[in-house]
Amino acid sequence: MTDSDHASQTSSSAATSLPSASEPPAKRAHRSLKWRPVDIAVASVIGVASSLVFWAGDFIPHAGLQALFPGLGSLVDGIWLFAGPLAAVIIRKPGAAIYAQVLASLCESLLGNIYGGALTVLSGFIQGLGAEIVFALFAYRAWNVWTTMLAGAVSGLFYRTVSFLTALQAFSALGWYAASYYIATTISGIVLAGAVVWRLYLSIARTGVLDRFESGRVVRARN
Amino acid sequence: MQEEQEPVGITFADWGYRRPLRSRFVARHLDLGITAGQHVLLLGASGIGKSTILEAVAGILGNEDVGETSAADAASGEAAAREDQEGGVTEGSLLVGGQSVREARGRCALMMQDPDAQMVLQRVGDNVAFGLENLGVPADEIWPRVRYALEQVGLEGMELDQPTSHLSGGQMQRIALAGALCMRPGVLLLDEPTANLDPAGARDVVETVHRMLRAHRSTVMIVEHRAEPWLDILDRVIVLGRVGEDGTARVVADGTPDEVFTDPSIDFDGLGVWVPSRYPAATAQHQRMLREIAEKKAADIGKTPAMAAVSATTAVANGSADDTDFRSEAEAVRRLIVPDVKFARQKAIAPGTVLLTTQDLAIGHNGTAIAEHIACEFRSGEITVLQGRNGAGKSTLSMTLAGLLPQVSGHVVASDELRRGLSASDPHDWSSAELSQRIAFVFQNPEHQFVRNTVLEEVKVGLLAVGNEPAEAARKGHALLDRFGLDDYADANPYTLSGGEKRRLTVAAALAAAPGVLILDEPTFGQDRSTWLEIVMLMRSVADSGVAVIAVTHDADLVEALADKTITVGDEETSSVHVTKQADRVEAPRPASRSRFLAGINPAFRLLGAFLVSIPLLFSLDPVSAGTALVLELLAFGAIGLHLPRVVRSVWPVLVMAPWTFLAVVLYGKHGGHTYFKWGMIHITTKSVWLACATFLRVLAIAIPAVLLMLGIDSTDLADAMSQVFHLPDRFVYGGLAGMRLLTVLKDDWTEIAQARRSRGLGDQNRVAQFFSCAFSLLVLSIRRATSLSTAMEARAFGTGRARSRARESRVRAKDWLFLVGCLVIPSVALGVSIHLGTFSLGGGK
Repeated sequence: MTDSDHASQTSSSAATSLPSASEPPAKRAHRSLKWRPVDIAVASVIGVASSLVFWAGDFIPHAGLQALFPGLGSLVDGIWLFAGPLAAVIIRKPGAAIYAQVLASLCESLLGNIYGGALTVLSGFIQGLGAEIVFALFAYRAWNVWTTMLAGAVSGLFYRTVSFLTALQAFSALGWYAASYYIATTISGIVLAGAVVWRLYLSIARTGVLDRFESGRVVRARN
Repeated sequence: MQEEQEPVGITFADWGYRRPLRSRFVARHLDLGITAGQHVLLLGASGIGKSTILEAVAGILGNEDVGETSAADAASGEAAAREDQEGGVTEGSLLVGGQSVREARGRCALMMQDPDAQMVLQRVGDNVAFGLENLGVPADEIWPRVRYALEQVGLEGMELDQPTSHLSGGQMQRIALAGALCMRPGVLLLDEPTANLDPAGARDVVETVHRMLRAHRSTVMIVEHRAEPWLDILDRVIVLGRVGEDGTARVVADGTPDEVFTDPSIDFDGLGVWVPSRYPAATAQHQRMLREIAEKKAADIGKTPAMAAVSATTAVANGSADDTDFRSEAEAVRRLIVPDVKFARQKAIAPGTVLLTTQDLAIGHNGTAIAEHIACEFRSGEITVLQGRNGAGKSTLSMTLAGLLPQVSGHVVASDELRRGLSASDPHDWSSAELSQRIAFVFQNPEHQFVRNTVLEEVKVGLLAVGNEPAEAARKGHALLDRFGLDDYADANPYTLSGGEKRRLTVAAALAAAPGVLILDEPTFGQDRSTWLEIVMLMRSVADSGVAVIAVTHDADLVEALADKTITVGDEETSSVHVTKQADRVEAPRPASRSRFLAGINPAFRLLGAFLVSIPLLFSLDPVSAGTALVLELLAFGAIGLHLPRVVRSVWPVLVMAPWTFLAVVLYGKHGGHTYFKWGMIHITTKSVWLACATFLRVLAIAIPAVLLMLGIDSTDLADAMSQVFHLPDRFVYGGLAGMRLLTVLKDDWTEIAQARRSRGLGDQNRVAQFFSCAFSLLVLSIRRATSLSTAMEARAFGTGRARSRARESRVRAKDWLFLVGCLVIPSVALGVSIHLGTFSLGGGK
């Protein structure tokens, strides 16, 4: 575990310091926020591959676990939140989180799930939006484990809030039960859609498949 | 647009390119003029940058230039360098038909090596039409041009809406070629178009190109390791070599094929180039190769080279015998792998000992036999080659032998020497750890079998499996890597190695567990001559150390150089394993819904309908509105042919999960009225039960139509509708669609990754660990595939910013609107009823 902690720390510092003053100006110039075909292709594949995980996750008896112990079911919510943050930290372009998350939930509902196709796509948009807002607030410049964890948390919070307005109307949005939901979803977002996503990204980058992405080159340049 | 694009010339002037993260330029100071209509072959060792040069000509390297990093420096002779968005650096200029390569995009068509990567969309016709859409060719011209192109590549009988899955590699390459041809390119770029194909498939592709060039004049640049099949159409051969101190590629030979291949001053062996057989230099090259292998064998088994050469080949043997005292390299490797104590106990297997036998074996998938009554045996020290067409069943046979696929009937029997104490004689019954120490399988795609983050860890997997202590395993791992020339990369990530290095690593990792049988699937696919020779030598020395080697291949040179025994697999009379001819798998297109009415509705409207029928129900949470909606939905689905039993079959997961939501609401829902039970957070009241009923019914009322309306929507039709009805940006819509096509490819990847895990001895892990390890490999692989997919899409002029045209029209009819109205009527009536009865409760109330 020490090895991984070390890795995420070094990379987070490297990533945040990327557009710093120490870089030569020419280096800074090639940060482009325009999507290239390879960005679209990779974001799409992340979305499509994630949809399989979402769909498999749909067979977890979420409500059953919630009934067993409030908050228990929601501890796995990060499973449905990770596509957006993962695509965002890899692609690093505006809209990546929303695009991947919406595509993933669209594919999930095309496979058929219990949560209702329309609601799934709507949730996907809200979840992606939550993550997107965090990265946008940092002007798409801060790519590190902390912003990713924050994105996972906000994604979870957004989603939970909307869920109490829609599918979970039978529960009071205030009170202990709702609080257990919020806390569990947020924790799950921080861990699964934040820390785990960041580790996953580093492992992927080390394989060299992301060399055409700035996100891949910052990791590989250190090795 | 019907007229042809004229062939155009290509000019490199002091051109150079450096890939991101590399210190060395691929090529530098390249001055080369290719005149319009010339047919040029580019030769050179693997990794020298031939593909990079083709991508540069196609204008798809590095996306966009982002500025000058350095100006031209006349004093030092440095050209102006430009850095692109991906961190690559370009020097000098490269013009296609007088235009910069980026302006000229679309005038060049690029065809690549990997057949799967070039199938962008799901149907044959759409794939061919893709480039034309990107060029903005009017819709009414597209289909005649697609049909004509398919005719040209000899696929005129193929249905345009046939899915591309289950096509052979050769067919896919011809479809890719048709896609390139119908763009009527001024320059045709072919990047190893036959490297992944069997001889028949390769012949098809070469003939198609020949035929096409007779009909249309075009400038052609081909990259291939073997010039042979292309000689008749070539005007010019350019050989690249790494000369000079900086190690960048330079032109070392340039001329007509006759001039180049008869030039005695060129060291073809050193350049990694195969000389075509019609030239005298080929014979000499061939004999050198046979001699080297004979010498290797001689050194391995301790005979004089002359004796071995006479017995093995007709080659002249004049090598020195000074190293006959050293037993085989692989024997040394073996000694070094197995822990000393074990090694002492383990008797060396005498050459010629039968290790693996098949008895009346029938092979196949899912219990259906494709070949029966197979009897063969595999002996230590012998190299057996399995030959046959692609898809003939070679892989099925080899995987069955490797204990990775169950046989249909009969037996695979491991001898006592191979079993080493195990009671089960059938490799399929062994655990993964037991298997990896006895039979190793090296897959064709090295990336399917990597399981660790560093090269050293990769070989340590096997070393640890046979009982070495960790420190011992590390020491032996380094020694093993040293033997394979990989120790410099011990800490590198396996995925970052070159093609040849990856293959060597997979063999080293397989040997680390000291197996008695080594099976390799197409070990020499797409390798240049030097790597080829390296692999062949490696296989020889492994066999000479007493391992039974089985190679699945259609490489004729490999067979000649190594095969002690050949088994042919196929449906020909002469095949030693006779395969019953398989009917071509042609899948009927799946209907877009079980209901004929729904299948005819525009997919965008089906999606909208799913929204309209469900979202209004969220206004009220009460059993009356939800129940009414549910009843109306079931009646409506019945009316369009989806009756209750069908509905239940389609939505069963919903029915399983919905009761749980009922329970959660009963226990923790909003409370009010009479309290039935209270304990901690649990509070069951009249209201919570009421709301639980409402939630249960509403989950069904929302999920059932969503599933039924969306299930079966064809993704291509949906993408067309998203683009044409919703006017979403094409780049994202079709990028997403191409990603969805990869799903089918990834399914096969998953199977192979899981088999590779078993073969590597990691198949006994718990299922969760196994799942995550496979999922990670699959994710890396899918990103790799997505990257080549984007190259294939760009090679078809995708993303140039030009207005696309639409080959397929997404039609909206009156019935689509009627359908939407119907979708809206259901929740309206349901809410109306609940208002009327006074049960309406906005958002479930307080």
